[in-house]
This record gives sequence, structure tokens and C-alpha cells, in this order.
Amino acid sequence: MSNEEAKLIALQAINECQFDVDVTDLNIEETKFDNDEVDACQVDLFNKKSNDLAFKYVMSL
Amino acid sequence: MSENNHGGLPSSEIELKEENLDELVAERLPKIEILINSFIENYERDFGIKLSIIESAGLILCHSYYLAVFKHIKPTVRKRINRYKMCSVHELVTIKHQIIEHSDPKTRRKLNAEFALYSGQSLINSMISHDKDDEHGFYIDSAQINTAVERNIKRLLRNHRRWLRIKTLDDLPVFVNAHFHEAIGILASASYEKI
Repeated sequence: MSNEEAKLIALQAINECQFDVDVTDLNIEETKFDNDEVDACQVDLFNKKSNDLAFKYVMSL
Repeated sequence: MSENNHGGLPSSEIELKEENLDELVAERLPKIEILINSFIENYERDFGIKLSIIESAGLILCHSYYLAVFKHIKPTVRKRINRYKMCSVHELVTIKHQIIEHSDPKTRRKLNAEFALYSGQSLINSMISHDKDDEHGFYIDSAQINTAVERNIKRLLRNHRRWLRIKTLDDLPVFVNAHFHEAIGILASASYEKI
């Protein structure tokens, strides 16, 4: 399948969907995980180690 | 930072605009393919079943993710899209497309719910810097975590997986779903504190 064909399928699917809207401002206190807020392009997103750990965890639920 | 180049630009310099969709998709696609392949390999190793997926699943997921973000998420948020909103969009577009195939519709929903939850959890985990003494742990399944809290987080995520199995495919409550994942993150973070 070409990139354009995949894009068309995606566009049609997204157009079929109903989305909610963001009306809240959570303003949550900083947590242990917040001091490392990063852009997705700055991390090894979906790296194999995270994938393996996530698989093990989800399948153990 | 990624070393890849697309259209002559390093990935970090591609502006987050809809007209850059193809560059963003090209950047993200290899990572999504690793995500999909890891699930298939782990599933075959643990359960002895080779899963099949729809044609060009990774490409369709990437385009759907960015289209949802640009058309519906970014226009309504003032701040950046954090890891929880990213997780939410990934989960819900995965459920919409049902990328894992199976002849039995109920089994297909189950497999895609597992894959969607796995995708979101891997995304969040890969965006968190882990402590040196906990570098092999999963952010909500660490040796340091309070076991009573961990038990309840697991119960919440089991219910969430059940919801992913039965929810209407066309409803994408991205923000409410992001709040759920943020709450799980807060609970997991708090559980590291000694009681």
C-alpha cells in the first residue's frame, strides 16, 4: 500500500470519529515523573526494552 | 535526539504543522513498526501463536495519529501535548483500526485491546527517565513500588483493558482517556513515596 493510500484510509477513519474537547486545566502538583518531561523526538520512543516491559506488564494483568 | 533526517531537516527541527505530516510520519514509522513487531514476537514466544496484522498497519496508525492530533487535539489545547495525551491518541486510533486480525470478532477485540494498552504503556515508559537503581523496572511495576497501590493500579488497568474491548470504535474520547492515564501516572508516582 502506498503512503497516499494509507493516508486516505487514515483520513476516512479519523473523519468517522467523534472526539471530545479539553475543558479542564488539571494543574496537578508535580510528580516524580514530571521533572523529565521531554519531547517525543528527544527520547527513544517505543524502544525494545519499553516494549518488552509493557508487554510483560499488560499480559500479567 | 534522533539522528534521522527527513526532507533535509533533522527530526527535531521539523515543525509540528499539518503540512509536514509526511515528514512526521516518515520519522515515526520505524518506531511504530518496532512496536508492532515486538508485540507479535513476544506473543508468539509466550503463547505460540503468530498474529497477523492488516496491510500497512504501521503507516495507517502513523497517519491516523498525526491527523487526529492536528485536526482535533492541537486546536483545543493551549499547552504542549504531553505523554498522557499521546498515549491516549495512540490507544484510541489503534482500537479504531483493529490492526490485529483474527477470524473471531471477540478475539480480535481482545487482541487489539491488549495491543492498544501495551502501545500506550510503552510510550509513557519510554518517555520517563528511570532511576539508576530502578533502571530495569517498569514505571508502574517497580521493585520500589508500594504493593497495595500496585494491586489497585492493576485492577484499574484491567478494567481499562475491558473498556477498550467493548467501546464503540468511532468514539475517541482522547482527553478523558488522557486524564485516566495521567491519574494512573500520579498514583504510580505517589506510590514510590514511603508510607
